[in-house]
Order: sequence, then C-alpha cells, then structure tokens
Amino acid sequence: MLQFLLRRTIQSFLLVCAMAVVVFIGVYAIGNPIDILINPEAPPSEYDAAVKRLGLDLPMHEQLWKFIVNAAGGDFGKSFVHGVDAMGMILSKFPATLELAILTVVFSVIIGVPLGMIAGFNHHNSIGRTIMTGSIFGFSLPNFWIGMLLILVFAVNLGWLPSTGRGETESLFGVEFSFLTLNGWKYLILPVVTMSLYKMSIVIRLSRAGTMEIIEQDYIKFAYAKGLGKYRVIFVHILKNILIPVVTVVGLEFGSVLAFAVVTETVFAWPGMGKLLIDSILLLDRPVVVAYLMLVVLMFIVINFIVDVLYALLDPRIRLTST
Amino acid sequence: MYKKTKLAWVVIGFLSLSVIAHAGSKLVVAMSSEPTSIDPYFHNLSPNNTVAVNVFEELVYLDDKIGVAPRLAKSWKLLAGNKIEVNLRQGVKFHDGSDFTVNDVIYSVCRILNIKNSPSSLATEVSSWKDIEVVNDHKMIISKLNAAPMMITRMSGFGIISDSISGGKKIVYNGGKCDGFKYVETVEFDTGKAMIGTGPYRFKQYIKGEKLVYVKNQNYWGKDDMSNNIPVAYDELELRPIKNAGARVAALLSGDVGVIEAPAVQDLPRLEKNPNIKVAVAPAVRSIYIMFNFRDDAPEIEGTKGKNPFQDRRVREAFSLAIDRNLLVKRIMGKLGQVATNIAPETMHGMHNEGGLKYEYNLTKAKKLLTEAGYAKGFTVTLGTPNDRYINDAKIAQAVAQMWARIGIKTKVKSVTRSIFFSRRNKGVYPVWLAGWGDLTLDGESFIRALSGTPSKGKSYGASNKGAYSNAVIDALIDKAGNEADPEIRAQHIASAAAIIHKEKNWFATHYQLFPWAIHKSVNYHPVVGSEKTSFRYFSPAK
Repeated sequence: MLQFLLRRTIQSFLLVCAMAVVVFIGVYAIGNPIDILINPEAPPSEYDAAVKRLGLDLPMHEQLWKFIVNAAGGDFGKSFVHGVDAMGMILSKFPATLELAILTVVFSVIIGVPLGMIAGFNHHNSIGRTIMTGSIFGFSLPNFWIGMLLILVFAVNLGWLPSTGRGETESLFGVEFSFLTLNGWKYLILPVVTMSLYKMSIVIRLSRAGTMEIIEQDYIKFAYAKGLGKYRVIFVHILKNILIPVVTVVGLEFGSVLAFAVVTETVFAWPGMGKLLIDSILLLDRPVVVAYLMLVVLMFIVINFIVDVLYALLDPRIRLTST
Repeated sequence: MYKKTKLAWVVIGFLSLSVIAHAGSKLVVAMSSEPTSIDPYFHNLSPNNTVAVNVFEELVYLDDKIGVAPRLAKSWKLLAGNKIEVNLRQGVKFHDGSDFTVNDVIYSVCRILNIKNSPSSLATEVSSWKDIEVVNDHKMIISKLNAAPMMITRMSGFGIISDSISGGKKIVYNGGKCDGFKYVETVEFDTGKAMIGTGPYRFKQYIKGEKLVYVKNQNYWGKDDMSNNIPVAYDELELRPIKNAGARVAALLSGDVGVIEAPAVQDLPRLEKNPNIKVAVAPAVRSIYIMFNFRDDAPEIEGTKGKNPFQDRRVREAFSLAIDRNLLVKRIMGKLGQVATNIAPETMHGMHNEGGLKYEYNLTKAKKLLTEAGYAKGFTVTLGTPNDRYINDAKIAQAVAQMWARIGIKTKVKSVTRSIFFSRRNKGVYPVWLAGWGDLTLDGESFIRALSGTPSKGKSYGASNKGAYSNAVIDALIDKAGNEADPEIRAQHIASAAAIIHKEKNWFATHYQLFPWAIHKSVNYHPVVGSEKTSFRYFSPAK
C-alpha cells in the first residue's frame, strides 16, 4: 500500500509540473493581454509601463523560470485583470462549483443506477426499452440547450424557479455553501438537473449492461438456489458488482464537472470556477488560467486515486499492486 | 387526496417565495459584463465605471442638453495663466458622516495617479492637473499643464473618494507629487471598508462574480433637488453580472430582474412585443469603422504585384463607395445601428455635420475609381475582425466582404476572438480590418487623435492608428485643438480635421452603434446621457 502511494505521488508531481509548463507556453503563445486590458487611448509610455509591471517584457524562458520558482513556494502570481492572488481567486469560487458537482453526481447515481437495473431486469419488455430510449435523449441533447429549455419552461413561463444565479449561502467549516439553505435549493434545482441528465443516461446504460451481464453469472444462480431472498441478491451481490464501471465513469465525470462546468455555469450565471476560467481565457489572464489548470490536474489525480482505492474495496479480485 | 394537498402547498410555497422576493422597493439590474473590482480607480473599464458612479460622485456630469453640469463642483471659472477656480458644493456629507472638502478631491487625484496593479488606469482623466492651491475647505485653484480644454469635461470621468479612509491627513499636491498621501489598497474597497462616497446609494455587500448590493443613502445631499435629477428612489439596488445574453433576457422575462443591459439583437423584437417590457436605446457614442494598413509591406494582399493598393486614395474611396450602409443597418443592426454620415456620431463635440457630409454608395463609381488606379481586374485581400467585441461585428464584416466582391475585390474574412484580434491588429497582421471607437466624454477630438494622428511616443497620438497613416495637416489641427481653450474654435479645428479624414479615408465609418436597455414596465428610466456607462440614479419605480 505504501509503495503504491509513493509511486502515485511521484508520478502525480511530475504530471503537474509537465502540465504547468505546457499550459504556460500555450497561453503565452496566444498573445499579449495588455492589448485588451489597456485603455485604447493610452499613450505608448503607459503601454510600456503596463508591460513592464506584469513582467511581460522578459523573454519567455525567464518568465517561465520566474513562474516555476514562485509556484514552488505556493505563489501562482497575481491575476493580470483583477490584481489579486490567482489561486486565491480560484479557490474562492471552488465551493460553488463543488456543491454543483457533488449534487449532480449524487442525483445522477441515485436515479441512474436503479433505473439502469430496472432496465436490465426488464430488457425484454417495453419498460426496459422506454428507459433506454429516454437515456439516448439524455446524452444526445446538448447541455446548454437543455439548460435554456428548462429556464424557458420553469422560470419564464411558469415562474416557479429563478432563472439565474446562486441562492443564499450558509457557512459549513468556514466555507459558504448554498445547499444548506432552502432558498439555495431553489437556485440549485435547474443547474443540477441540466448537468445530471447526461451523466444519468450514461449511468443508466452502464448499470443496465452490468445488470444484464451479472444476472447470467453462475454465482447469482447459486445464490438463488441456496435460498437467498430476492432483495439480498439484488442489493448485495448484483449492485456491488455493477458498481465498478459506474464508479470509474462517475469518478471521471465528477472531475470533468468540477473542471469544465463552463457551459452550465454560463447559462445559469452560476458564480463558479468554470465561468472564471472562460473569462480568464478570453482576457488572456495567464496566471489564472495556469493556476486553474494545475488545480484541475491535481483534482483529477486525487479523484483517480480514490477511484482506485474504491475498486479494491468493491472487488476483492483487484489488488492495489498494479498501477 | 392528501398527496394532492401536499403538492398544492409546495407549489403555493414556491410561488409565494418568488412574490416575496419582489416586495419592498428593490431594483435588480443584470449587467452584461462584470467589473474587475469595485475600487473606482482600479481599472478604467466600462462596468467598473458603471457601478462606481452610484456611490462615488463626480465633480461634474455630462448632460446631453446642457453639456457639462455641476455635481459636487458647484461652479468654476477660468482664470488667466491656465488656471481654473473651482467652488465645491457645501454641506455634502460622505456615507460615514465626514464632510466633503477640497482635501477629498486632492486625495482622489493622488490615488488615481498612484494606483497599484492597474491594468489600465484613470490617469488620463487627471493628466493635466499640475498644482492644486487650497483657498479654503470648499474652494481650490487648479493650475493646468497647458491649455487643456477638456479638463473640466474630464472631471466627469472619475468619482471622489473620502480622505477619511486613510486618516484624513491634509495633502499637498504639487507638480504631480502628493505630499502626505497614504495609500489604501484595492482589497479595502472590495471588502467594503473603503467604499465611502457621497452618492445616492451606499455600499452593502459585494460577492465577486455574483452580485453587488447597494442601499439607499438616507442622507443624500441631493435628495430634494429635483432640478434635472430624479430623487433617489430604490431602497435597495442589486447589480448582477449575467454575461450570457440569452440568460439575461430570460431573467428579465421571468421577472428575476427589472432591468437588463444590452439584450441581444435577435431578442429585441420579442421584447418590444411584450407589453410588460420597454426597450430604451441610448444615443450613439461609438463608430464602427474600417481602417487600412498603409505600410509598404502590408501583408495578405494578392494580385497587386507587391504594391500596397491602399496607399492610393482612389482605392480607399472605392472600398467605401461599395458599401451599402443602409442595407447593413437595416438587415444586420436593426434598432442598434445608425447609418454613418460623418466619421463620428453627431452627438460628438465638433462633429455636428452642418456641412451635410455623408458616405456615398455607388458601385459604378467605385469600379471606375479602381480602374483608374490600375486595378481593373481587382485583387485579393483579407479583412480582419473580432467576433465578440462589437454588436454583430463578424456579420458586418462578412456583409462588407460580399459588397466588396461586387467591385471585383476577393475578400477573405478572418474573424477571431477579441484577445487574438487586437494582438494581431496591433502587430500589423491585417491589410484592412473592422474595429470600433467610442468616446464617453462626447468629444470628437479623440476620434481624430487616436485614429488618424501620427503615432509617436509620449503623446497619445495615433494610439489606435495601427495602419501607420500619417498626415501633417491633421497632426497640426490636433495640436491646435489640444491647445485651444475656446470650445467653439476648438470645435472648428475638430470639424476641419474630420472633413479631411472623411475625404482621405485612412479609415471610414460604416455605422454608429447604439446601446440598448430593456426595462420592465414597473421601472422608469430617464436617461441623461445615453451611454455605455449609466448611473442607476436615473431609474425609479413607476407609479
């Protein structure tokens, strides 16, 4: 276990470093952020002063070196646009995206797995077929379109739910979350439904495939033969075994929601990291983009690690020795 | 039976929650872009200025009927020797109860000049302030660096902050140096501690990226002054950034917000048909233009044997004659565009167009001019344009390209996001491009100086003249206008320069861009200067 942890940590560190360099060079190559930030009427002297202040007059490898040295000390630079600490800005938006991501995953699993299992047990009749057809719509319809449709129906036409924004928050361990308030839930419903439709469909299909495969297995037949009750067989034996592919996908999807919920956050004006990322990209706010992507890499690494550990717990056939 | 009752209660519960949200005098406004900070001096950016002006009032403001009007400055007088005597309004108190005095003005100017980490500061608004002589607490004499005819107008570009946020020590301002000045960080504004102004609204809460909440200033000095302002009307004002145009319109239609900035062009017909909503379009302050690259080695031109055709005035004239501006506005811009007649809208000082200038549309003449210039067979050129900076910018460029095709010019349109476009344009990558220029101080001079002045270090001539055009006559007129204190004579210099540009066409305007607001019928809006910066004091509840 320790060997596994150590190897993983070193690999992760190297990955983060490589990522930082690639992103830095990539964003640097796009262009000069000063052109967008500065008042077009500003005299060339002010332009030069701004370039110097942001350190953009140094050659690229010097800028890269300065960045690496600072990053090792935990300082990812100040945002070009906002002037505040880049990593601080990102982390301040993290709770909003986190609660959206967690609720999306929870919602899609709670609904997706049972529906998938039902589809699996009923794959020969219309119940199963209906669920599968529904799931096709779920993953083919574009995210933003579903979001706008939901806003149109529930906010504009019916007026039941608010169309944009995040609700009131309450503090938990010093961090503000909006799922802790009733008002916050009103704002959470539409974005969560929008994002979970896609994941739910995938989970349904995975669960169905898993269920169909497992109910043919010998150990299920033996379990029934021994006299185990239907619910014990379903919840203990079938469920645990179909969860492995589900856990993998959910882990990946959780990471991608956290990192790239940009479209949903834009449509619902949800003040999370995704919106911050797209805005920073459009304004060439390099420190924020680089810090963000490094954080994302770190998140994916942690998530994958947790997923691997869960495998070992779920399936005794898998050991942690292979990486 | 029980289940249905429960459902009914849930529905009623949700509905009543949304009703309660609208009770009380509160206005929610959805803005199209987010301020980078609520520190009024941090960044000279439109959303920053829009939110700042409600809390931090300016010395003067611009009224499209009377011009420069007094706000915190009650009166001013030009004195001999390039000096201005300014009398400040008495009895004005800041939100923390301290008095408004000359020292607050000095502190504000000092902080503007010493702002840290600013991507683009307000320094140009106070660039001609040389010394400030304090006569008494409410009278000061400012010495100007030169004739600086726009100095008073430029006072409308920044709000006054309170010196009490740094201890209230008296500052001496001499030659641009501030003796006794203590800096207060931007973060103090973002947390609200330093948000002390004289304005009709005071700061309550700021969550970056989410909302900015102001509440009514009960002790506002102007609350009984009905002369040309509306008294402060809302108890609470909430400003939310909703960047996505569709989401913004949805928020207005669903009643979540009362006012939205910049609804998308395609949504305007639907909004106008809606009896609960009115669309207000503010007068134009921005020209959308086509500019040419004058360098010998201008890239991306083919079929001209290595010459730059745009150095010939006849070619430039032909390119302008080929554009049917009426069609552009009618089909693409709709209510949000006005056909350009002069290089800048007539609201601009110096652009009043008594000469009846206009941009002609004549395909035959265009083809004839091209032939005379030696390009009877036409040539190939690239038109650069941003696709997310101006309203329908990419569409306009594509339409223009098609119009040029009719006179034999094969045009490739390269439309990119603004961050890439401006970088490339400034490096001289395009032979011809589309861009825009506006001036919130309603001064036509900036159009001439920035777009046709010869670029030179130190002065801000030609800051956007990325085609490297140079005309000594225009430069001389800009010099004269910059040193002329009499506004009438100055306007004549500007008009003369504009006429030259209109003829020479190193750039020409296609249309003027208008700025729309969509407002719920429960809100009254009295725009004073239509602009991309607006003060929410002009919104009040409809009876």
